[in-house]
Amino acid sequence: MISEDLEFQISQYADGTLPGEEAAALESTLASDAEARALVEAYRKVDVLLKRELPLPQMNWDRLAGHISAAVAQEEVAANDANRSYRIAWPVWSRLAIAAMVLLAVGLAAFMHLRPRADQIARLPNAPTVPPIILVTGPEPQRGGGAVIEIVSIAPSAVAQSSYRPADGVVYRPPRVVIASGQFDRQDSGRLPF
Amino acid sequence: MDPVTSDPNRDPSSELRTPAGGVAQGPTDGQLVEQALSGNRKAFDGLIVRYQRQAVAVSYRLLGNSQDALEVTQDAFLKAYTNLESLQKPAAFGGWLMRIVSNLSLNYRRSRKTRTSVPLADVLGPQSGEATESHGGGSEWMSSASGDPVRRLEGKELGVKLKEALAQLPERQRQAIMMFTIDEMPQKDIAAALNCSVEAIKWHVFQGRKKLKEILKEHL
Repeated sequence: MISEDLEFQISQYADGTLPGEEAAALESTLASDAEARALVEAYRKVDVLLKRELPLPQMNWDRLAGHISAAVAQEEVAANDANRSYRIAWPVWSRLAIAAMVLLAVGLAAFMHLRPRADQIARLPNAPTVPPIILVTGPEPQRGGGAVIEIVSIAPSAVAQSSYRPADGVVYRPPRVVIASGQFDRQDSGRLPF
Repeated sequence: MDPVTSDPNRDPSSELRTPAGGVAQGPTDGQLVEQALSGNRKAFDGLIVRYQRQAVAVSYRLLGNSQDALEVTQDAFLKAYTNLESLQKPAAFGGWLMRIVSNLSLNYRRSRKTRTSVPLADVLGPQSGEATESHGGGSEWMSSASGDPVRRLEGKELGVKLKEALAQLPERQRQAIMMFTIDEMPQKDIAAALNCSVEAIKWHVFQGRKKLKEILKEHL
């Protein structure tokens, strides 16, 4: 009884695709195994039968190559014509306009990309240090129950307060602004800044 | 198998002659592809000569009709030429082309157009497979070589039996064994055409051969 693995090897040996070392090993098996030798013969006969009975139809290969080559040449000519007509369809001015648009877009993109950002300006070594004028604190939650009120305070900074003048325009008097986000439409205190 | 040297009708101009008068292998597939890409269409003609037989074989085995196989082969070469730039490994042209042929053949088989025009009829030889197909026998081709009526009848019977036996095989096994055994295609190109590994092709060939041996044992 021949195993499936051996039979697979024999099949490859019969068609000459079994690697050299394996073929040499198989030959020693074949020398002593008549059943294996018969299998090699049977597989070779199957191959002969297939080749003899079902060949490719007769063809004129030279003529076929000529046909295909001509078709390829025709395709190439058609592609070149299409390319040429595409170029003709676009007059010079439209091509210049497209080029200008592309140039503009590239320039704009480069400008947007290369301009320094605000945080980069602050890091400049010679940038002047300006004392803060306004302090914004909050929001802080209201203590106790009741409506939820978030308090945001805007007041002059210590520096601005020391040299405060109404004419500065930024903060015309030290205010305290409370912004309520409760369910009632109101702001606290009568000391509204505006 | 080198399709150039194995093709009895190959174009001799595709071979390179050495100074000593011997025949060299000629440019590799990779070199021909590079030359074709640089505008040398004659280089692509070299690839046509080299691979047309394999392409027809793959298509014929998938479609079972030589006229359709010729149409598909021509389309496949056109497609390969127009998409040559997309081929990443020029040396792998053969497998790539076989994949194109296989895909086109399968698409063709799905649509299976009935063609009234016969633009490539002059390519087929007088004893082409059409006669075999139209008469339902498998041995017209062989019997043309034999004038003996008894042998012709035996051959015809055997051809029919062989076709019936092949029809019993799973499609992959049938295609693999025909492309490998009859058309003598390299296993790697069959693998590309059938979209599987070389090991799978070896296995399909073995299994197909084993079943054919069982079915045809009285004729062996």
